[in-house]
Amino acid sequence: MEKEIKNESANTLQNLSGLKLVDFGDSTGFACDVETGFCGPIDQKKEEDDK
Amino acid sequence: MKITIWSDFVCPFCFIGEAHLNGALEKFDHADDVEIEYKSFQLMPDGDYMPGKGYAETFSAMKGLPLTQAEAMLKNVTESASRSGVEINYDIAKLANTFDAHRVFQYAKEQGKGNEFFQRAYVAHFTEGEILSDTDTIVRLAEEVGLTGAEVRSIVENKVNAEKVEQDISQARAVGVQGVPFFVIDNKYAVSGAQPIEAFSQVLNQVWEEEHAKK
Repeated sequence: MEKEIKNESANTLQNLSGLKLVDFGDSTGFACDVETGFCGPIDQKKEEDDK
Repeated sequence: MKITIWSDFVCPFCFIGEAHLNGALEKFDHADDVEIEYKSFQLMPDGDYMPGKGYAETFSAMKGLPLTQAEAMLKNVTESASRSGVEINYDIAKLANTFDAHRVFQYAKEQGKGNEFFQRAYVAHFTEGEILSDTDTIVRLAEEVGLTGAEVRSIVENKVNAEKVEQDISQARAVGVQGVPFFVIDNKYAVSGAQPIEAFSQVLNQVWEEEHAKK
């Protein structure tokens, strides 16, 4: 799975408390922050830094 | 394949993300083999309905944001929803605490109606301007998905299922959820946020292929 995703679209999977977080590269998606309640584009860098 | 979704009824990108996931499932050859389970999350546990105040005004007061910033945020969300074919009407929507509705969702889930209740609550909040903290409203919405009104009213009034809601939220925090919606596929792969339909399609197909390549 991990190799397939990297090969196909340069995406990566990262370990998130046992789960593998699918990273969609340029397509970051949108979410609502569970701490602030603010909604907008996902800050991919923050997610990586916070782990 | 099982997809677990942490979400809140008042989370706009949860509503939008669900539409994207459904779009991907419509194109997925094995959609009949996909089970979806919702889990409770409270995006704004401090949220409370403020009669006479608009959504932006309530959000602004709750978060200490300038009104113009709150209005801009809601405008961006509405435009994003519109592009996804999702109807969000912040002009009539009422920001409210969702804890009671989540307790009823847990009951609906026990009765095999959890997904229907979740979807009904999204539309009630975002499209129809219903107040999700209002007991009569919760009972009516629950009845609409086939639940017994008297039982639902008893659950709301007797504070039943609070621990189940808390358990879902604690589990999300333990998993490391930073944003909702948060999707977990087969307890192995996580997708954070409302991703495009194509992204969900890619994940569904890859997980399916991986799972079936093992057999």
